[in-house]
Amino acid sequence: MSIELSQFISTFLEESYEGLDIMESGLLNFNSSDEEAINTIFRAAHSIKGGAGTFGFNEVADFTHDVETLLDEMRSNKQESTPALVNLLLESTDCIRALLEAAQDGPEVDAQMISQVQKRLKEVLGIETESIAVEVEGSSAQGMPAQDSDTAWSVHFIPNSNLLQSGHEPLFMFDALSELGELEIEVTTDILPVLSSFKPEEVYLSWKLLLISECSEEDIKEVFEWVEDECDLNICVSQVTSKPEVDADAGSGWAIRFTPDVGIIQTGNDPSLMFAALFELGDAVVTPNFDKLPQINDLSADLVYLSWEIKLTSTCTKEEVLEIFEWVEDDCELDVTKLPSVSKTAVNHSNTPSAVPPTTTSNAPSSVPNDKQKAVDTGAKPKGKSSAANAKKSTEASSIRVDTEKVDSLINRVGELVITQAMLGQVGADISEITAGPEVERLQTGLELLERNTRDLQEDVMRVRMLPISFVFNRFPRLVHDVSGKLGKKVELVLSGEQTEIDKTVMEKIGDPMTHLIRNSLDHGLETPEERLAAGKSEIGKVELSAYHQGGHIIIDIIDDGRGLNTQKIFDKACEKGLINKDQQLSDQEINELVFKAGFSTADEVTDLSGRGVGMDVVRRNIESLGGQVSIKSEANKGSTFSVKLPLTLAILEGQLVRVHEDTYIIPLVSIVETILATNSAINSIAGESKLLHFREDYISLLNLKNIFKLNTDPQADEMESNLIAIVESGGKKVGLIVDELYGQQQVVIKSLEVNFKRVEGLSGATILGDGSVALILDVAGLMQRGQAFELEAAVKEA
Amino acid sequence: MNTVNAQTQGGDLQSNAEGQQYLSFLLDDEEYGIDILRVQELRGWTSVTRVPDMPDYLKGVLNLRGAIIPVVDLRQRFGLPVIKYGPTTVVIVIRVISGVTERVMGIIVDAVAETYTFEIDQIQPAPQIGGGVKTDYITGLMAHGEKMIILMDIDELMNSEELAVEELA
Repeated sequence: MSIELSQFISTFLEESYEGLDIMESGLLNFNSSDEEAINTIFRAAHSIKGGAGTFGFNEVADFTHDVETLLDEMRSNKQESTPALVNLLLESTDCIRALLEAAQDGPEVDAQMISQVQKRLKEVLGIETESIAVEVEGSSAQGMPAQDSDTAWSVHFIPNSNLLQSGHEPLFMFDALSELGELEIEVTTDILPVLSSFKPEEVYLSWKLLLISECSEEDIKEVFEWVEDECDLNICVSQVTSKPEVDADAGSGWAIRFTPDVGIIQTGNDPSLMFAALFELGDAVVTPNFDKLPQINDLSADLVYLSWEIKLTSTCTKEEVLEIFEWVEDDCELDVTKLPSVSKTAVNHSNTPSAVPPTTTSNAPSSVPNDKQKAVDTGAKPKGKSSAANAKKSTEASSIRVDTEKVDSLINRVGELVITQAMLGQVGADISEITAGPEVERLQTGLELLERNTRDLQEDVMRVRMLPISFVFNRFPRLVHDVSGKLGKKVELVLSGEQTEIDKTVMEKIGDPMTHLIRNSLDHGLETPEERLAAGKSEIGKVELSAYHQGGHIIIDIIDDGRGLNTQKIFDKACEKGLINKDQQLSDQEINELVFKAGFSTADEVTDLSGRGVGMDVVRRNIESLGGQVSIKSEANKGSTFSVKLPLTLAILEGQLVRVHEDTYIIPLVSIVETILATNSAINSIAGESKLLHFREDYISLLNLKNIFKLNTDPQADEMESNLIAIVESGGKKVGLIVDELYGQQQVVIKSLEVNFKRVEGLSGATILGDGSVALILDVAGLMQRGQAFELEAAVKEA
Repeated sequence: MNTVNAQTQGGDLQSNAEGQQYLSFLLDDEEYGIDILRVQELRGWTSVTRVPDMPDYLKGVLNLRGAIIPVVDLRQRFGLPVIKYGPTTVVIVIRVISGVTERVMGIIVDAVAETYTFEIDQIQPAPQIGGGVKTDYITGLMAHGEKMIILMDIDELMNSEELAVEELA
């Protein structure tokens, strides 16, 4: 079978990054008593390792293998989960990410960092290796190991040569086995014939499989159930790793007899949910008992007539089983008895030492005592086929991966539809003015329906591009964890409104500015624990991220309860840096806004995290380039709030239509401060061409679009200058644009000029108006630059 | 849009011994030919939206079913006298290969003339014309009876100077 694997690499990488995210968030919320959490982390690592191996990213596979081993030890309580260990695992996820990025022709990896982390991983595991040697000797001397922990099963699978013809595929069986536990496959090619006598339908291979799992022999046999007669199957315990029982009750399984009261459903309990919980613990076989089932006429839908016998194969404790039935204790008869351990004597031929690290919780090298330790001790983690299957179910959300290009083309097409619909609506209105009659009425009704449907369709299609902002928020717990550790501050991060949806493109671009703002809050905003205590606050600082919708925008607030902005310090600094004049009278708000000026930083010392002076101005610029705004509110000793306001989507823009000369242009509404009709006296000319507008105690330079765009072919027309001025703002700077006429405001779909043409400075794109004509969208920041260039040019010409 | 399909077909046909099809158009009484497989559609002249600060020959952009495409007046591009657009004025919408991307553009010509099928060996190489005239975009000359048809490479033509794709940053 030759499958072109390379086409799946991107999918693998994508999934691996997702896996890493899962690991990371799992580790951050790590709670060693939560079995599912560590299982989730383990599974993510496991699939990364598997995928990496398949695609030949051996470095990734090797590295992840160590991580996986460590995780495995943690979940089976062979390693204590200490904060130090969690940190090590977090660093490991970074390494895996770096390796994956390198595999994806990204930057070179820091080999030193990787090998160092890997060394530490091995160290943690290495101590274990020593104890293996001892244990192995001990257990082989004992000869007969117990069956309550990971068992290394050696399976020798020699299929008959006609196995494939009967429709069986060994690969599937291996897959099924690997769900039971960790699987190592060795292929034997001894009987491979010479090529000339090779028949494609025949199997010449046999396999030696080493399965490390808690499963029973039956579980393995079940996998091979269908091919029993068509192969030689030899299953034996290769080496059993024993672990002293944490709980005397722990065994290979439980027989549960569950006879609920007939009225159990009325108490709101559902037996099927309990069974599902049992499946989480291990492999369970549920056999219903119909003895008490009445005649069909006597059946009542609210009553339960069945009882069940459940055979649970699991290493869980009796308490764990009882916990599931906790709620129905009084409404049922429950009988839980221990199943006898499955004896392995019959099949125990070989005793090859395995690499399974057998340890006890008592000799685990815990460095830091952990108050969660108790929870860890409650029992071994389930590791059965069914729990893996359950997990698969929960992660397979009903979503599909679609190329964004496809979505964009869909959005474009719908945009077209809206324009066509508007045109038809106009035609319909025209017709109804000329004639009347039932047909015209029907036409009108139809057109109205069309309008509503197209609008709904447009909204729906737009929503396809929308993702919950949690995709951005999710990276911040890690950031806060790392940064607060470095700064020695105690920080609690509160997230709210993670489900608020935002356009994917906006989201991709908002991550960095947000990171910066949060670092800023942590570094400058929050005080050290001592300072906080001295100020009478709780030792733990709070940073809150909250996202919500407001009038076609999404607002993200970054709130800290730190010391607030020091207006005096900012003022002094700004004077020092020459950003403002010492004599200027500024309100607190105006002073706060100064932090967004280029080349501003108030940190007393430059830290690794922030304070290099390239900060807030970049944040503001990035956010404005997305058509957003950032503002700041602060109160001394109470904290400060940064508010980021972003458009929901980049595909649509609220625009003000204006006429300049003969053309219609669109100014993004978000950049317009005000439009005014200036009196002649308010406009002052300085040195020829350039003009200033006196506007509320402020002088704003005016840009004449006609000049900048070189639209004016007739010099005579210069005399007829309009006084209509749109005051626009970008990067904290205001300019006035002279326009000839204001039309309406409307939502426009942004089209790129670059696709078929090129970027034009001063324009951010184009759109199609209701009549099908194209209007250009002005880019205020670009216009300002263009204006400066134009003035320079003019000055050169004059000289 | 199945532009990609058409493109691969174009490649196939080019190597085809049966020859290549050209669409010819008139410009100041001269007949020019372009590869017909690059022609997406023909449109009558409609007013376009002027893009500021562009050379005169770049008339502006128009809405081609949702795509914004630039339109070039070939007369002005070649420095020919400007005439008023009339009923025969046609915008030929062509696909231009610009490096790795394909762009759709319009060219304004006086009128569309005919389609021809030429064998590759019928095409004479473009003569070296001295002086300042750039002839890079002329791929060859083709005699058809009395007429001479000038064959043009639209990629060369449309990617020059102002229309060139900016280097990807």
